[in-house]
Amino acid sequence: MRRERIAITGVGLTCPNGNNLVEFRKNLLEGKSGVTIFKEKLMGEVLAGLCNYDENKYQTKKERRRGTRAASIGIYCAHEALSDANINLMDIDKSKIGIYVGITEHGIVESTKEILSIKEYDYNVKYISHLLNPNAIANNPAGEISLNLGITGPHYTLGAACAAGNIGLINGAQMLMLGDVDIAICGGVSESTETFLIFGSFKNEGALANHKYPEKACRPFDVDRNGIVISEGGCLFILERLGDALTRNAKIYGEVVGYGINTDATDYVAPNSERQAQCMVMALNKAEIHPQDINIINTHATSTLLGDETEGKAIYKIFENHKNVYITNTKSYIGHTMGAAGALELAGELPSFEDGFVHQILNLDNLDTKCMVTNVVRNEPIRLDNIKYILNNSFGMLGINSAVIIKNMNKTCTNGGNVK
Amino acid sequence: MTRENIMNSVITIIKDVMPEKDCSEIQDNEVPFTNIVEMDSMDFLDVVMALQKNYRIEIPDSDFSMLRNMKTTLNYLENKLYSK
Repeated sequence: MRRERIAITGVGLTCPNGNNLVEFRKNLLEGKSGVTIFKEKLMGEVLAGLCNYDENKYQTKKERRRGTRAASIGIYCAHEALSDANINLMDIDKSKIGIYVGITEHGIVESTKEILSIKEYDYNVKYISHLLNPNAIANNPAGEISLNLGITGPHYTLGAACAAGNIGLINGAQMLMLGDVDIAICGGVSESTETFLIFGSFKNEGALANHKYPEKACRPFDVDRNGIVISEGGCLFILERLGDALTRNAKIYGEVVGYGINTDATDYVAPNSERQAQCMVMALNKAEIHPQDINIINTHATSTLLGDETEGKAIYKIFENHKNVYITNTKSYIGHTMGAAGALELAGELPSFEDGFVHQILNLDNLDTKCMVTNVVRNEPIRLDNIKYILNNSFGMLGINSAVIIKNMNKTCTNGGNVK
Repeated sequence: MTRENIMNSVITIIKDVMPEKDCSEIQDNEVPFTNIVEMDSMDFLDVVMALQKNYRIEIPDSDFSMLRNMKTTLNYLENKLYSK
């Protein structure tokens, strides 16, 4: 069956080391970390990645006060992505735009704040805010984007743990393939740093990173890694059917040629190497390419002992020692942006099609051989000519796995979207 | 607490709820808030909640109609606060 071809035509993001793709990419190539010390009221000093985008650039103060941080991040990203894609909402049918936002969780931040708020009133339920429901509801981040932009097509969130950013993008692509929408605003957001509960839960699981120097805390595949850095952030892509994008002469970052989603069905938190490998194979098969065709693998690796080793082994199963497949990681710069991670990490790689560089993994001083990753990019970026395919992994708790493959369109598409 | 003190704190609450609105025309009279600052139903509920928390009082739904302008709001709050 012939499948509609899907193009990425816009990127909007905010993360701990950048508020747009140009700034983010520059900091990735320069090895600039966004991890910092965060004084959390109940946890004390923890390491975290925080964003400093302008909350009132696209929202009034009243809208921001009424809504959530996750939605604020989403609104910022959606506006930036539409602008980047050179799409003016006044010119198009807003009922044919879909909003698909990946989230790791939503509602825990809002519920925490509400409970702390009424604690001051001896838990008198009369003081529970009427805003709790619209703010804590699962579709909030996507719904506030639709309200802000007046978009009347479908909007919803995709709860897919830390695979959600990839899965938001995949869902957007699928809705375009089905013809349900003409434009998809999709990716993921995270407001995880807004509640002590998430920090506390990871800490008590023994999975929270600590280090004397914040910028050295997240160190995927390094022998001294000791856990994740929790971060907030967001990244939303504009996706269009390739033919539509070419018709309007849109800038094309790349084509979504392959993806895979599957499930471990083996454990609440421990990942499964076999299933992760199968997920990557699903994406390769969908793209109709071979492992050695991939040039860059952006790993999910979060800097935990088990997680990095499991993913490394999964990659080895499929890619073995192919010399032209380079392995990198973005969490070493910005921490784990949870529901946004898959989308942000993919976004940071897209400019490699243009600039020809693969950014390094930060803090990889002593490679843990148990992870079995070879051809890792460390110490400094490497120059790579003719980058054609990027594979982006994103995995999450309860065994949800995702992989996305993006193809470089720069030199491959000149005849109206019909080339293979 | 004087009536003027209470009025100032109510105006502060309205400004917090609607930071972009000009509240300078709000006075101790019966001009509805909605005519001055285009207060929608969510804004109104925000103001009611803030009043409850600020004065640690309970305002039942049945009393909402008394909070539509500054004069009746102040009458209502004075009565509530002095009967505490």
